[in-house]
Amino acid sequence: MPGKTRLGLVLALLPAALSCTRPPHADLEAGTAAMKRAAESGWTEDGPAVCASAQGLLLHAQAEVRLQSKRWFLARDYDEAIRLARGARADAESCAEHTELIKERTRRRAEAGLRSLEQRIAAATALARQVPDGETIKSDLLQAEITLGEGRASLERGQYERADETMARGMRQVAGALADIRAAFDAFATGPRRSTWRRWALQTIDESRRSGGPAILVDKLRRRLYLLRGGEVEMSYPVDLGIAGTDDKTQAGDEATPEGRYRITEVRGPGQTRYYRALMLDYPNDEDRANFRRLQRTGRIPTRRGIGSNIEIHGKGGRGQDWTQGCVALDNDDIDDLVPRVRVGTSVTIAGTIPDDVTP
Amino acid sequence: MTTRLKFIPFVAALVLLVAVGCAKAPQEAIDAAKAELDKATQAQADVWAGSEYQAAKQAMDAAQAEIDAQSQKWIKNYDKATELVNTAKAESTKAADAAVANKEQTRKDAEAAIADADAALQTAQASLKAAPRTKDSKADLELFDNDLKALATTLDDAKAAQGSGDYKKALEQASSAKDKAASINQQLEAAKAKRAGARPVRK
Repeated sequence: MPGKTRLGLVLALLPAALSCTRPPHADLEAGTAAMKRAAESGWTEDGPAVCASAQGLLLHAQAEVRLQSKRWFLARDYDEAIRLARGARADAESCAEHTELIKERTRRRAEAGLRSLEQRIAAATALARQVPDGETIKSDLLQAEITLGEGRASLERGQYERADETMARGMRQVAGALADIRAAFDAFATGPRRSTWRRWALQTIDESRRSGGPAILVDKLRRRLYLLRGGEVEMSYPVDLGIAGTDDKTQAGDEATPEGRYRITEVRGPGQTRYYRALMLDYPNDEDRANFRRLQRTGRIPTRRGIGSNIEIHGKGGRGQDWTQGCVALDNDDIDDLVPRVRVGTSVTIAGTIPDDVTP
Repeated sequence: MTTRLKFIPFVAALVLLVAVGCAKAPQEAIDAAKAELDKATQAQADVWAGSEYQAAKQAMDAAQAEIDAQSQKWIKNYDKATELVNTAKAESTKAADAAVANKEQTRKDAEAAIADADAALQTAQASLKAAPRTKDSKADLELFDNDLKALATTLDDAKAAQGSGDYKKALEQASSAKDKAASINQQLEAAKAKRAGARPVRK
């Protein structure tokens, strides 16, 4: 081959040879960007296997490019780097897609979990208000509420896994509190006064059945007032009690709702009571007085203390917590509904709880 | 060609084989990269710069795998391993730096959140003191009082966490306590607006 022809051939092939040896910058950049996205989405070692593969290929591709770039330009061969970079890019994009999907799923799960936790705390807090001496339970639920706040803080900072874990901790706290609530309810419902409450409830139902008229049963534990007619439940309403909750009233100022069998002595309308409408009760009855005297004799009530009075079923309730000084409070709409259904002389029985076997 | 000259290519090939085959792993670079990774570990990069730390560890693993692969070969070439070790070192440095920076930022955030929570708690406590105690509000106020006491305990826990370097926990607890205290304060302000005028009846 003549010299000129040989030179021409070399010059013709040189651009082609050079074009084949370009480093795979585009694939490397795309792969690196995809891995960055995956890292921002919280890719961990436990994440998809394709991520570990992508990272490995990317590292090898970058190393290969650097190695080749150190060689004399005609000796550079980027074929291996190109192969690695292509693989790295494909795996990295798949990894980013996977991790973004996982992150989104975790975010949704944490968000839904925290919403559910909030609802459970609210429900448990409402129940805890009914628990006799439930201060510890309320305090546990406040801790759950604080945990909920911690979870929200994590969620806001994009730490969805942590938010999810915090949510689970809050759920455990609520579950613990609910177990304590159930235990407290059981202990109260099976206490020594159970047979008395059972007898009162049966007498009230029987009286209503025989007369065919109205009677009121108040279940303090369930925070519920049942209006009976002909021995059957005609209506039932949620109620708020005295601040002392399920405690039985023994003296003036103890902020407890009395337990016993009473009658309506007066019906007061708007303008005649501070609490919208009121059904005045004949508290204290003979049994309350006898009990009060016994407690005073045994020194459990100071001699100067009174027995209390003005116990009513009144309006301005519906707050979902015990706030009265011993009265039974209903929502205004409910007292509007109740008042026309009863009259002076209607029997009102207030019990700690009504045993399940006689619950009307 | 003499017999001596005939042996020259064989001798040259043998020398080349020995030279390449006896290539040594870049031990100095490996040690330096490991030292950087240790630094990142000590800076708790796994906690404060998770993705950077993972990248560093992966680079180190890849380098080690390449070194192991070459060490099994007859003809060893540690050029690529050296590149990978250098990458591992650079990634480890990045992870250590990110850990220090992120930790410091979270510390500052937690400090600010604790100060905010302290202020919110004091405001709520002042509102509680000033709230009118009536029959209507007494039960609420007692609940708020208990809640604020519990929040003060939570805030103490947050401060303890801050003191022990658990800044994430401190930040979350303080943020939560601040929100709850602010919510109580809002409810107290609302209760003030609904103040009942009449004197409670003794029952």
